[in-house]
Amino acid sequence: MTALTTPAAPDTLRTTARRRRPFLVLGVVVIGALLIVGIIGPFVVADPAARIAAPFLPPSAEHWFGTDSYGRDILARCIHAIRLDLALGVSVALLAMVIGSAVGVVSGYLGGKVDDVVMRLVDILMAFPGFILAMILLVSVGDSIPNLAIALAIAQIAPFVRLVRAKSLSERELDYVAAARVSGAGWLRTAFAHVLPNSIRPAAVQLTLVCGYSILNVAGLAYLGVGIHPPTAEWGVMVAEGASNMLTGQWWTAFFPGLLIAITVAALHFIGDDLAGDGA
Amino acid sequence: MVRYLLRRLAISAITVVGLVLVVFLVVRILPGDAAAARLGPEATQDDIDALRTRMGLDQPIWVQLGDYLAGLVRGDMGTAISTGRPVADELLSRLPATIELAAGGLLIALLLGFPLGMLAASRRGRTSDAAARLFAVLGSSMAPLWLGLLLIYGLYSLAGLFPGPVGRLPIGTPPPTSITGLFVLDGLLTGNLDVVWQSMRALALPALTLGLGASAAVLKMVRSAMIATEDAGFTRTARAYGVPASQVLWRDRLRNAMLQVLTAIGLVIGFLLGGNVIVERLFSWPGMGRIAYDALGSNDLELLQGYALIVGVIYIALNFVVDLVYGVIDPRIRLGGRAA
Repeated sequence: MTALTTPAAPDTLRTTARRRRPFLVLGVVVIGALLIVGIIGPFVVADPAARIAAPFLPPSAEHWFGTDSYGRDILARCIHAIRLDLALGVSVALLAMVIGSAVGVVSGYLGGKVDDVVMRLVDILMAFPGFILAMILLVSVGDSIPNLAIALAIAQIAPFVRLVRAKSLSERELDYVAAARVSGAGWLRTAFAHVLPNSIRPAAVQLTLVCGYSILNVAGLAYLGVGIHPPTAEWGVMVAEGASNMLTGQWWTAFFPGLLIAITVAALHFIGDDLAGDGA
Repeated sequence: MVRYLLRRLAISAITVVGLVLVVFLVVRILPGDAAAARLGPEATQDDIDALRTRMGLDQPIWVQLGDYLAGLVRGDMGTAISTGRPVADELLSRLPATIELAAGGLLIALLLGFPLGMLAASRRGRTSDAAARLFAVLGSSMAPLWLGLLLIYGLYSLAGLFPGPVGRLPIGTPPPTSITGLFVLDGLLTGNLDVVWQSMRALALPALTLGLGASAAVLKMVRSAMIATEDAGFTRTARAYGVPASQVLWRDRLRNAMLQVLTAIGLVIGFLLGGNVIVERLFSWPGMGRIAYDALGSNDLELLQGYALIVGVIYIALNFVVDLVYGVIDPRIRLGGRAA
């Protein structure tokens, strides 16, 4: 069976195994380090809500990232935020991938009228910039963290549908699908147990990218006052809270949380680009 | 070409109708009550009921939908709860500011992304390629808010090169006579060069904030599209016939790559429109995104609904234009082949 499922195009993971992959290594190391600090860190550093020093202390040996307008330690808040930000990013991406891939494989495998309807719906979803769609949905269904994850996920479903559908369209013509059908599998079983596992690769790449977009979108929404609110320790909320201090000179209040967002999203991009075989 | 055009037009029309339905339903499924939200916490139930009747909220959903559609056909998008003015007026009066900002962002994205993408493709695997790709990843990893703050801090607070985030013109400078509503263009048309200069300076930082992020997407797409043409049959044929290398690059490869690049530009414009709410708030830019932000704060769903609709329609219209340009660039489409 495995011999039959191997696609005609060279498998990217295998052909690229021999070259050096510095970007992938960098991305994995950064995400790994964040996970470790995110799990252990909150037991080590100060309470994110504690006002432990004078307000607006610049970065120093004692407070590496300085303190904010309430005298809270910014490094401690950044470390406490890791769990929430990564959990949000991953859950949004997984939710969008599960729904999008399921719709995509059915649409691609069945084709015909079903496919036409699904593709029109996807066009409509894609007529909104994802950020605006998430914003409108969140306001309509009510502002809470689970709703935030759902709204962001719905806004990211369309690319998953397209990617998995495109791959299923070519997969369904292959011999193993015919073999499954003649051995008595129904369309549901053929689509999900046979076509889907062989069409999911592009969606896995998209997963890492969507994880990053979601962290960026959470930050953007926080600045508009929806999604996650102060005093929650979350990177986007911290950038939003620090925005007004930028003009008065306390650059560190927004700089460090924003830097962590950029590093995390860049690491996810590095992993995704490498998996996509976009390398040199 | 005519058949292709009609087909794309029909698809765009269906998408617009779907968009209207989605926007209408999303706002109607909300658990809150628009009438109660408008009157505030002190309103009595009788007041709320009276307003519900006046707003038509007590009607069945399909009657409401019919009224809404009939209104849209007349150009009536309802009344903004927070200001009492028609939604269409509120939004369309701010459209030029948003277009000026998006155009500035697009210009920067193309000026940066196109040459860097061509460079990266022609020097694939070398240091300059890796540097360009690194730039692309970093550009798409920064939150627009954060990037904007860094630009304000570096180029306004520290260096003093650009005006602060106070909108389209410095306080006290009168806007140019309105012809198009785009200050740079109006200034040029009326010969008011001081306004042209001032508004370009005010536009620089917000446009850079939007453009840097968007340039990453353009760079990636130009690079991969150009690489895809490197080993294509037409490239080999042209080379085998002894066509000069520069002509193969500029005439054959670039023209074929343009199809994918155009799609990317459509997506980039979507990104520019979507990022607008944040950038317009940060730079006090009086565009549609700024209105959407105010509407969020005052729970003005009519206004938000109108905003989503206008952005969606602009987006669909742009993609239709992209399809048209496809037809012009690609004779396979123009001469009646199947649409890709």
